[in-house]
Amino acid sequence: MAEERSRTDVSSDEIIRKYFDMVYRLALSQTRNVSIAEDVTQDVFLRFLQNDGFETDEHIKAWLIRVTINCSRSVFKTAWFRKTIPLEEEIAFDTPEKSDVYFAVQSLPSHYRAVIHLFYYEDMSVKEIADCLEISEPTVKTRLHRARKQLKTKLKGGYDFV
Amino acid sequence: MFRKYYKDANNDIKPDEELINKVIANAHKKQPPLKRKNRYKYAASVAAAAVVVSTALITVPYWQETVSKDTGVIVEIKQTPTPDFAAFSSETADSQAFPTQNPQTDASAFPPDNSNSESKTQSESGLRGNTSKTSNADYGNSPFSNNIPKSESENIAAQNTESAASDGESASVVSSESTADAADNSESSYASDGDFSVETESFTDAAAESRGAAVQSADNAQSADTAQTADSDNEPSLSESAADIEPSSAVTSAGGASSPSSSAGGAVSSSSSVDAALSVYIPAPSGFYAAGSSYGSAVFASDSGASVTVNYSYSGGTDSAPVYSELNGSTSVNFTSDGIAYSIYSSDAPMTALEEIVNSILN
Repeated sequence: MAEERSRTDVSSDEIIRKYFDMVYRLALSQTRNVSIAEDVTQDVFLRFLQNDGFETDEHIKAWLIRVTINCSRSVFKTAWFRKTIPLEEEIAFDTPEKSDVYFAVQSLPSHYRAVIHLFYYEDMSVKEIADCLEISEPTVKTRLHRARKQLKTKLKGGYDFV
Repeated sequence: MFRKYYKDANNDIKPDEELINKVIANAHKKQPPLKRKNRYKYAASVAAAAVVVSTALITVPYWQETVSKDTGVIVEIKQTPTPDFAAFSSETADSQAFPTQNPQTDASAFPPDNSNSESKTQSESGLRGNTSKTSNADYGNSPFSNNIPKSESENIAAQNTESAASDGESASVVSSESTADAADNSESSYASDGDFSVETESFTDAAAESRGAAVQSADNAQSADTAQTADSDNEPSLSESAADIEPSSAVTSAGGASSPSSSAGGAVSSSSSVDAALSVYIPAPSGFYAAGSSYGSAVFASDSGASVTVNYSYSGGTDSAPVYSELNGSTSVNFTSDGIAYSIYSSDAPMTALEEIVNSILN
């Protein structure tokens, strides 16, 4: 029993370390606040440890993405955040292009940020995004199209969105 | 280009290694709550405990009520034997042993000796009504009463007494109560034209015997001579069986109710205890008739509307002289005779009626 428990702990630690950056960056993309993103990340992995029955690694990844987005949204549904607005922390990048692109995405609505982040950073297909967010593929495509349109406006057409 | 810059920008954002370790540590510290199926395995135990507790809460008041009923019906009067009591029971062959006994001995401590116990028959020969108690030997020899169950004997007694009452010769008021069904037992009452008597028996097996005696009493009511084994005076007598067991010092009376009779006179005899039978004879004063009686009480009434109520109870105290008192036309007298405390109240009755009752009791 102890060996089984330790083995489970080891595998859980590995999974946490493997997907920690992904969860944290997605949470930061959704919350736009480092502290809140850390809290969301911790909450996501706590739920991950309380949940079992994951079959594959892709299943775990999809589950973590979906839970991260849901937790990030639920944070702003609380009574505290309905009355307050968190400070947007300035993240410093070494090049102005990174900064322009990143903050242009951060200025988008949250549902556009999610599909842009998953499509361009996680390299997920439309179908995977649709499955992960439990929305239809046309919705994903629509959100991607509208997000790109806004980004072109913000970035003044300086970047191609291939 | 957008993809490249966006990836580079996100890659530059790296969480602290300290945060990763902190998350891992906190995640392992917090124990996950029990799952539903793990909680369900305690559901049966919790439900069983709830059922046991609720059942106990429901039934405990019933038990308490039952116990209180059992003890509430039976009235026990403990007799403290005194030399007066010994003198009172001097007629019995073994009454001398009474003063040596523990005065607080309960009647239940002396189970009846059915084979040897014998109670003398008390007869009221001067009056027409008889309260006869045959000896247990006779009772045991009687093919009629020996094997008759309690309820049957009571029924037969009732039938016999009803016939006796219809004949107008004699009857006895038998109120016996031994258990919780004493109410039923106390319903058996018998009336006579001249007297009525009340027999109260203790909460022992002797009660059944006494019922059998009552049966024979009813049988023998028309021929009093066959039931008279003792002198036919009005003095109370104790059972001879006291010597056979041990000198009993307890008198336990369990009373019942009796119905009024239309007789011209009245007599109340109270026999009690396992072994010691105590009889009280209360005649009706002149011009009065027995209007009703219950355990410890007898009521006499006259045609003019006057009434006299006699309340008596065994106190075991010393004798005291009658003290008369009069208030607003009602006269009362209190006294103790032979260990029995009497309280007689009259309403619109002359003083002579009370004096007549008192004299008959004292004599």
